[in-house]
Amino acid sequence: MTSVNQLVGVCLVYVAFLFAIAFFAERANARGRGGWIRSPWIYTLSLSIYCTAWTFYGAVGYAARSGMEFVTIYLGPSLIMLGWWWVLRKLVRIGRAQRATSIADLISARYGKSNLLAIVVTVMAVIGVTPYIALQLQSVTLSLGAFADPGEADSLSQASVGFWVAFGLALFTVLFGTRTLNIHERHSGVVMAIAVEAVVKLVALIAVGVFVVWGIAGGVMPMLERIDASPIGEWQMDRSRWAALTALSAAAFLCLPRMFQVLVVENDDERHLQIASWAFPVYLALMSLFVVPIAVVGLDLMPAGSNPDLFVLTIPLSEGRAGLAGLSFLGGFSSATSMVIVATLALGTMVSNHVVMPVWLSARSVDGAQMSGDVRQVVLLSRRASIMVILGLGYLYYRMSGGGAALAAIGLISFVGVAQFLPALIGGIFWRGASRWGALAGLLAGFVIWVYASLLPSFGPDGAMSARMLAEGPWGVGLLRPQALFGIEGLDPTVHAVVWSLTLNTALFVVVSLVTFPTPLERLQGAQFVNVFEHSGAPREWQAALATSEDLMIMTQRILGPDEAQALFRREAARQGRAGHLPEPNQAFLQALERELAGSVGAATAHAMIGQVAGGASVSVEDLMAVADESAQILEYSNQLEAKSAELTRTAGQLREANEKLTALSVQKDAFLSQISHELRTPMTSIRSFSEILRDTEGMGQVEKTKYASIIHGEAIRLTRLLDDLLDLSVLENGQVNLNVQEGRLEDVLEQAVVTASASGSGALQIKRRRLNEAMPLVTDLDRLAQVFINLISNADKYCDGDPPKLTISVVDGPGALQVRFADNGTPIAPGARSLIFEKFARIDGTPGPGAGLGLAICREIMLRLGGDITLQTRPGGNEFVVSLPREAAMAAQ
Amino acid sequence: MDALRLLPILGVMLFMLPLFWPSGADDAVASVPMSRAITYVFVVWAVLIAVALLLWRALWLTGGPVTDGEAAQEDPL
Repeated sequence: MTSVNQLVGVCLVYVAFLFAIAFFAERANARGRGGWIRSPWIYTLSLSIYCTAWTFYGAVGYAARSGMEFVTIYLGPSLIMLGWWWVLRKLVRIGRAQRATSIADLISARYGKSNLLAIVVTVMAVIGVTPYIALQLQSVTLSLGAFADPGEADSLSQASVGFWVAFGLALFTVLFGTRTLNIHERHSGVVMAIAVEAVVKLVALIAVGVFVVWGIAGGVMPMLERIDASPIGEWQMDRSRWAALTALSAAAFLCLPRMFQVLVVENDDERHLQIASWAFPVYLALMSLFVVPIAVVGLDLMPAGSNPDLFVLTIPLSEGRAGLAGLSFLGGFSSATSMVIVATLALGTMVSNHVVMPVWLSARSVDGAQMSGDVRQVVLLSRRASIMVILGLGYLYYRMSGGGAALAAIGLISFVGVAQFLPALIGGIFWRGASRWGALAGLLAGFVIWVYASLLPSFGPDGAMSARMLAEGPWGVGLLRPQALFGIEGLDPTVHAVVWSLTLNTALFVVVSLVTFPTPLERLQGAQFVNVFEHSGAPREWQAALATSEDLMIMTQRILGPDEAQALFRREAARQGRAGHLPEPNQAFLQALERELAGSVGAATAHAMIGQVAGGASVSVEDLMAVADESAQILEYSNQLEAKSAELTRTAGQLREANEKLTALSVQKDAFLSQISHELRTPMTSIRSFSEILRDTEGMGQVEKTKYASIIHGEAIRLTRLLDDLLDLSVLENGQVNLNVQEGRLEDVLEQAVVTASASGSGALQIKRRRLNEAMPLVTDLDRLAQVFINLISNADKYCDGDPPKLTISVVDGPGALQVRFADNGTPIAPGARSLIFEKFARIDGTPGPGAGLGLAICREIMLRLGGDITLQTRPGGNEFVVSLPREAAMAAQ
Repeated sequence: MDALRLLPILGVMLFMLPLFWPSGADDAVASVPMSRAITYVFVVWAVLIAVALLLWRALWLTGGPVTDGEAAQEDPL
């Protein structure tokens, strides 16, 4: 039989071995040869601290008492890992982006770096995990007791064993975890050691399982038959417990401080999570594969009344396999130590960062962070003290609870306690509306119910609560009975605590979040957390001008150490392109520095320290814009896009129209050029010919001379008129024309125009007028107006092909303008030509006539100058030119 | 990607299926023998793990959503 002393010796050797592994792993990492330490497999194995001594011993006892229910504790984490895409991926990314050092750090960072929240979470975590640590002490003590001879038992009082185990673990953790202050709060040595321990406990449990199945039962099939024949051979389950425990273990997996430490803080590479997503469920399945067989064989072989929690040890012992029992003991020891180390490390970090440091800082707030001396020593010291205190609390709980309760029950109490973080955590990373007060209210409500309904009753009747209070409620109020709140009886105590605490927690969290308004910093952080995959900028801003590099340097040195700090500052100065080793304290630098410090002392403390040096943080309008409601942003953006696109479409349409017009005009111009050269050439040719005749012919009669000279004169006049028209148009278009405004009557202007036009026309055109309507006074440039009328009448004279050609001139006194209509009975102008006839040089294809295509262009320019317009309306029987005169021209004269 | 999201939901459904099994407390129906319960739970577990493994391989081969470059970007110092 292995003596207890031997076992203690083995344990010491084992611990020394672990220490060596941790030491070499850290050294290899420091030398940059630590690639294999950061492999995904080490990461997966380090997650196995989920499987504590409770798992190792307690699961078998659990199975012996309630059958398959134990497996729920593994199903929850398996589902979380399999569903890593939903929550863990985001959590890990946020943890890395924000340099979270613990779950308290993460929650406080999310809710505006609230230190109050960090303290609440820390205190809750310490209280919640204390039973768990007690559990580890209890299991180690129990397992040692299993090896002790009955006679030896007295000398090995449980209390003293528990004390020495606690002391040893505290020493171990302090030596391991707080030797240095790590920038990222990552402990490669510790991770390596717990990975080794993970292998040891898995091998130990499988070894016992294999021994039980093939060594005792004789194979798989006989084992299954034996299971069916055993007292737990029938499927018995409490349905509410099955569902509640699966959910609870899933929640605890996310919320346990030690799980957060290994899952998020120690995560080196997000891809490791992908591998762990299937590798860790494999580990869990293997850990639970042999639990039921061991329990069944134990129930079979062991005398009635023996503790089923210790079957893993007692079965090999009773079969005389001392070596196997030793291995199994080592497995249980590994489970306990790895859990205690990481849990106290995580809690110690939380306590020192969120409770001790803020208190220490505020106690020296006058010149706080700038004092001489090394803050690192303070941080390390507070961490070591915290670890001692936490283990001390665990020991105290172990003594108080009497060490009697089943392991699984204690573990579940812890689970319910830490699961209270879940609403604040999940709400924080998925819901931007979650507010600090909501989180605080939810946490406190859940915590109070947990203490009242789960923790205090766990001390047993007349422990912390009197038996009467348990049975009848405080002051006899039945509605407040700790294990039947609001009169709902018959629920399993664990399910009862889970349901009530989490329901009220979530309800208060949501309701208070809805009615309170988050601070700007909270909104900022909320946006960063919820949209961590979209943007990872650092939005908060310091009033950088207030800080000097020297102050920052002094402060940083004291947290990171002189070498680290100087390296950091030099790097930053190099990036800013400055010589020397002091960078300019601008926004970017302060934010980077804050994140760096947060890696060592937590977000809230780092924020406060920088705040002391740099003055208050300011939030710019841009930041607020960034947090403005996302849907509003998207809406505004799409509205802008829509408006822009409409504008573009409009502009494109206008451009296309202009282009078509230009193209058509260009064609017109080409046609005109050939036309005008022809027009100019004809008179020039006759002028040249007749002048040559005049010069060269001798003996020409006076009559002939006069005739030829007249022809030359007429042609010259034609040329002059053409050039006059061009000049007139150009003057009108440039706006250089001077209007000669005078009073007159429309009928006189029309009369003059008709007479003038008829005099030079062919005389074939019949003009109809309604003189009665024409009696209108006018104030305008009468000569220019007459020019327009003359042009229109002579155009009709020239081009109207009606038989006989007729022109009807009517005056309409419309509401907006005075209209003079010139309607002829010629061929209607083709639709394509209508928009062009008022352009310069426009001539309708195929029409005969001497014009150069300037008349109508001049008319339009004149009418625009006069404030009116001229348009063409085509009717079935001909064309109608409408000259509109502005109302004022007519009114002013009346 | 969608398969990755749906996998845990499938897992929850399968693992909650035992809720509908006749329990030892009901005398009317013969309860499920423990050996079959164990087999069911572990087979479901193994299948889920196998699917997760296959999905991970597919993700790995296609480059995956999380690359080194992306992870490194967050680290300004």
